[in-house]
Amino acid sequence: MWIYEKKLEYPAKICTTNPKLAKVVITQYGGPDGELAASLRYLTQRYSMPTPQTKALLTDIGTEELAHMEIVATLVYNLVKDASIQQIKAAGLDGYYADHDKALYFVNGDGVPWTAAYIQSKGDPVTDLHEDMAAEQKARSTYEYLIQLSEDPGVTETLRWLREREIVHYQRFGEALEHIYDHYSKDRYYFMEQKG
Amino acid sequence: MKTTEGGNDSMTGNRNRQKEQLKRIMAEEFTAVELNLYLDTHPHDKQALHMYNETVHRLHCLKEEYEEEFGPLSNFGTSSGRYPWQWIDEPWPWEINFCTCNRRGVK
Amino acid sequence: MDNKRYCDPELARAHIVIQKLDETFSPMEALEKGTLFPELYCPYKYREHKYENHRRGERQYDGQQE
Repeated sequence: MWIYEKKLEYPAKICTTNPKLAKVVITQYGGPDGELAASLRYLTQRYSMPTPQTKALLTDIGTEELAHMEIVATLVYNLVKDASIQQIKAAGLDGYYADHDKALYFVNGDGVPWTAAYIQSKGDPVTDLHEDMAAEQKARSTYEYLIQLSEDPGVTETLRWLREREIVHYQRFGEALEHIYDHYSKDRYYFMEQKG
Repeated sequence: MKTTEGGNDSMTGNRNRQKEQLKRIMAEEFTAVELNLYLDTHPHDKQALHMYNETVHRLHCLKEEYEEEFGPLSNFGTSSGRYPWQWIDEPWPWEINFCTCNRRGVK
Repeated sequence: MDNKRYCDPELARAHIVIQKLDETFSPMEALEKGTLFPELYCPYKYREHKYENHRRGERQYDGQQE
């Protein structure tokens, strides 16, 4: 079960009103390599993980990704909240505004809505952990592109922090993969004997 | 949503103190998160476990101090409530901006 | 799941170096950097000088922060 803590994981900073920037940052909220996808991927893969370490790691990183999703939402919310209609139109957000006002919604940078097709939960822990490592690299790359696009120093600092988290998560999933390989190699001779 | 425009000094001072305390809590809790993830893949690392427990102790002290002044950080049974129900109080996390630039409307 | 076997020796196999706990940043520094561990700290080396309009008083923003 989840308990919510009424604070962000990181002191998010937003120094400007910039709906144009919000329009691209939102991809890390509802896009293919964003934090919602990461969170739901790990939280749904954890049920079929075979060892205590992997069940714990997928649960914990999945939970942390929800905290990152909240940080991205905070960036978008603050970039947009004081924007005028003229600024929203100039940013190309009039289509989004018509459906959502200034509310948060799960879309990518082009307004394409989130889909479970962004994630996989294959049951094979080696397969799932490779997907997880790839996901962390995709998220890292996306944060780098957003850092290039950002003109807000506070948002840039926050994006850099979120990018660093992907690097750490990649390391942990990699360690989990090594652990899974060890776990199965111990049982290898036993399985071969069973097959006779 | 409350703002600090208009220069209410005591409210600004209060908000700044809240942000400073939150930053200290974030620092200790983030340390705990990092050590937690490390321990998930290194469950036999005694040094890491010792560091984690020391962090937990510091974190609990900081949270107690914060909650005394600013209300609960979590609900669903984690701590007792005061009247009137403080859990609903603002600001909520997405309403606190830690930017130190001179931005109009920044909290 | 029980009948899964992974071939050995494997040519195509991901190998990750397991981290060993060494020095750590202070909590405040860890919060600023995004990790507790110096060996995992890998900042993005991107620098672009952005100029707002060339009006007096406009700030120059340097995108690089290491």
